[in-house]
Amino acid sequence: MPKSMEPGNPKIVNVHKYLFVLTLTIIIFAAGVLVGNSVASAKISSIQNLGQTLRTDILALELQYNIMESDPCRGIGFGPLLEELYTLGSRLDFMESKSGFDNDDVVRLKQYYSLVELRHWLFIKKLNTECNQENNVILYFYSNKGDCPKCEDQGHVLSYLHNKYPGLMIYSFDKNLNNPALEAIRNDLNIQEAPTIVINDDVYPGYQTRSFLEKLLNYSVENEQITE
Amino acid sequence: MMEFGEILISIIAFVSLYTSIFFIITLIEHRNNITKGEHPKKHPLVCIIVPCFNEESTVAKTIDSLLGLDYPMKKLEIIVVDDGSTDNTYKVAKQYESKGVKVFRKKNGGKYTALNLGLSKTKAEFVGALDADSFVDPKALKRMLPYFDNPKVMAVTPSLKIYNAKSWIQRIQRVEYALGIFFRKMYSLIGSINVTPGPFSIYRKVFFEKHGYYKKAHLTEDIEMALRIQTHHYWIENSVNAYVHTVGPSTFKDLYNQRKRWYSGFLKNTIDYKNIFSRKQGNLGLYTMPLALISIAILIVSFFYMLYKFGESLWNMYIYARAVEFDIFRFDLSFDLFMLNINTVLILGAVTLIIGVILIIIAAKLSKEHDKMVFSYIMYVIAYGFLFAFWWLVVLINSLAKKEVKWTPKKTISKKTLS
Repeated sequence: MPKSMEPGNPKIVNVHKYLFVLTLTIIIFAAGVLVGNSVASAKISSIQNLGQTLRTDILALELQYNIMESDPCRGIGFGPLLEELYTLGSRLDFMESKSGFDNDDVVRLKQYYSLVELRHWLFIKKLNTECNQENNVILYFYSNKGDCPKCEDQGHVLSYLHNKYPGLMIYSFDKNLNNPALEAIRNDLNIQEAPTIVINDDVYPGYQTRSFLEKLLNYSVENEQITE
Repeated sequence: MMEFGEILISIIAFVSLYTSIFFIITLIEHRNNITKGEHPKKHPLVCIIVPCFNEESTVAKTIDSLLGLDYPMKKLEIIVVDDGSTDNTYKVAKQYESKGVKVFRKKNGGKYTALNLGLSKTKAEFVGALDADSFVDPKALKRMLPYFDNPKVMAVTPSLKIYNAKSWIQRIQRVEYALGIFFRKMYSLIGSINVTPGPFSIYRKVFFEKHGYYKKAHLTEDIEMALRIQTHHYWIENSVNAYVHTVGPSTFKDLYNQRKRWYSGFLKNTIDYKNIFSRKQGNLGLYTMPLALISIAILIVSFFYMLYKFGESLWNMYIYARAVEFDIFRFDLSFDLFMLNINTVLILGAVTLIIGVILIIIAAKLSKEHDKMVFSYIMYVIAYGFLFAFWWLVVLINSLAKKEVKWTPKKTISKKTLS
């Protein structure tokens, strides 16, 4: 103890107190970290739950479609399902963008999500051909491996269009995802680069501006809004 | 991998958690000796010096508050020193001579010269100063003097409150001062007070005789006095229920000038007394002074980080606007709770804020300031970090550029504040 520190001096360093406070701080800090981590894993399972719900919804719709085969084109509402798809998609994007979440769980969910999207897309195509509906459909192939500087802008344009035209169906696919179904579509449409946009089976490689896409869609989208 | 922002928030959370727990435990440790009883009979001679420079609007109220002190008048000497005012300060003070107040006038030389003139005119055992923009509570002196029973104690500080907080700038200061009351008490309990505030700190006169009068001390003689007492291994106490009300700057500019002077004074005096960072100074040298410097550093880094983040989000907004060809009013404002990134960092931030609220409640209890504190606290949390970082930044830049800080008196004390 320095000479200046006679007993009773408030300046005296109480090492035990400092260590006790340190212990308490570490405990509270660790508790915060634990709670944070458990919230993160709760999020993963909530995504999985959403996936489950979606699977059930799709099945229900298809059953409905099967039952109503005699008159398949009446009473099939796909709107709520599509909104759920969008919610799931943006949540997946969010989780993917957060560091620490690019784990197998998220990749698996993304695989599953892409398949659900494909299924929905095929369903809409069926409606278009068999029921003479004119649902406008956009397929969007992106990459987030850093090799697509324009993908962010393209994403902005598409979510803008989604907000502006509620009837427009947009399905986005990670170009780099490996699964046989997606590969088949990619080969079929000859998708080489990201971004690439497919509108009602016409392929437009490279970045497409808002005005160009609106010009392509405008007539039929507005037409559709009128009939709704 | 953690982002820089996450690391930064974790550090802030850890440091503020540690500090808060440390002081809450200190409070619990000393819960039975937070205040001291008054002496019913012992009344030593006390001299209060009121240095003033162009303070005609407040000096009368200041002297009145001194005359209203609960203390035998023949044991209380009041010396007003007019430091070359160009307004009616001297005339106003002169009117109090009939009530036993001594009034002196000198050429302008700075606050410390006025204080020293007062010091040279008194034989009192204890001397204090009261800035001419502050008013004492009648009980203040009686509650402070018992601490001098310990011969090691060379100074006792009061609890400062903001007088009649009206503007939002003053209301933020009110929270700051209430927290200051808590921290000053805690600092006194661990021998770490590093400023004996101009408004009504009382000193043992013998200290001045042994170790010299007030110094210019970069226009913050109150910081220098505290550091000088500490380096001579004497003690500084705090009387938490000795209230002094001070008029806080009411405009951003006045506050900015005041803080520029305070913080650059703290920095320069700390450099002058750099030996204070030593084991010999115990808690002061090993914990509280380093903590002050670390906090300032963290704050300035956070300031730049927030600025960077703000710029980044502006840039992202521009990118979005450009992509949608500036039809930005269709921007999707719907909010998905899922996207709220509830992670460790957010939880730690919340814990820190909650601890802050607990401290405010304790501080409000200690300072007996409980009305409308919640709203002021919200404003304080939002604004103070930025203001504090900004002031420190200015001070650091000025110090590096070796720019001299000048005394800029408050220009705007409205009649409303004084009513």
